[in-house]
Amino acid sequence: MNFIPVLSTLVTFSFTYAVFRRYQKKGGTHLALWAFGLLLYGLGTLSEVWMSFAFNELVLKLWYLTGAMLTAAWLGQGSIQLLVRKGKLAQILTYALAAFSLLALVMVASAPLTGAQSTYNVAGTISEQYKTILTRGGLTIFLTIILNIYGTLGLVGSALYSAFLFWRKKVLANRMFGNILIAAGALSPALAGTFVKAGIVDALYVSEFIGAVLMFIGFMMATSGKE
Amino acid sequence: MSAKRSQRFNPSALTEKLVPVILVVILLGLLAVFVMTGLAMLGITPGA
Repeated sequence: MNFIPVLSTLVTFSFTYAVFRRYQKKGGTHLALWAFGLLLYGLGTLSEVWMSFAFNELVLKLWYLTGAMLTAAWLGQGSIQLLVRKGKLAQILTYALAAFSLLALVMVASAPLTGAQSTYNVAGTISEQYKTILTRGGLTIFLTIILNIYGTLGLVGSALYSAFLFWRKKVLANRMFGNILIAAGALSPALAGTFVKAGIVDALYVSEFIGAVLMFIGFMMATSGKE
Repeated sequence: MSAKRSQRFNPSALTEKLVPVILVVILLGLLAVFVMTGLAMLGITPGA
């Protein structure tokens, strides 16, 4: 069994609970969207835990839908909701993301598996093996890329922008450092995907754990102190 | 007014230099992700 996804799942669900509690206390659509994105993150890593015991078609598809397609997009949507306050643009983007998420659900649910599923190695990682098992059409791959670009840009970009503003104005040091950690944490899984594309190393599980820990610490820092 | 003042901080010399460097490094990482994604879409990355 690979222990890293277990740790990632524990951290991510704790993080989800912390964000949801803050949403219950303070309100704010961005917190609800972040909590939803983190729930997807946790479901993705939980799928990795399951798949380290046994292969399951539904769990593989759940992993691809939550971990590979939707997590970054919904987390990024939370950040966009926080920063774009004028007009209804953020609300429109949320509805559009919901529609694309439903489309992704239908595409992944209907994607056939290849015969390679019988050779799935539970000692390996999903990220190393899913491409030979899950048949993904061009539209599915394209949607995955677009959702990830949108989400990564939204989450990392917003955190960087916020950290820069706090640094320039020299106010709220906790929020400045918190946003730096959130940006670094959000970038971690995205960079791991880049390493895979470059053919360097598949470090997705480690990057997910590092990402969850950094973002959790960053969130706690940013929401601590005077408000 | 005093609450506003208390939110301000005086960065140490190290923080003053380190923060912008970290921000730029993260920004470069973000750009690398997008460049590599673009190259992967074109099918010219080894692990795509």
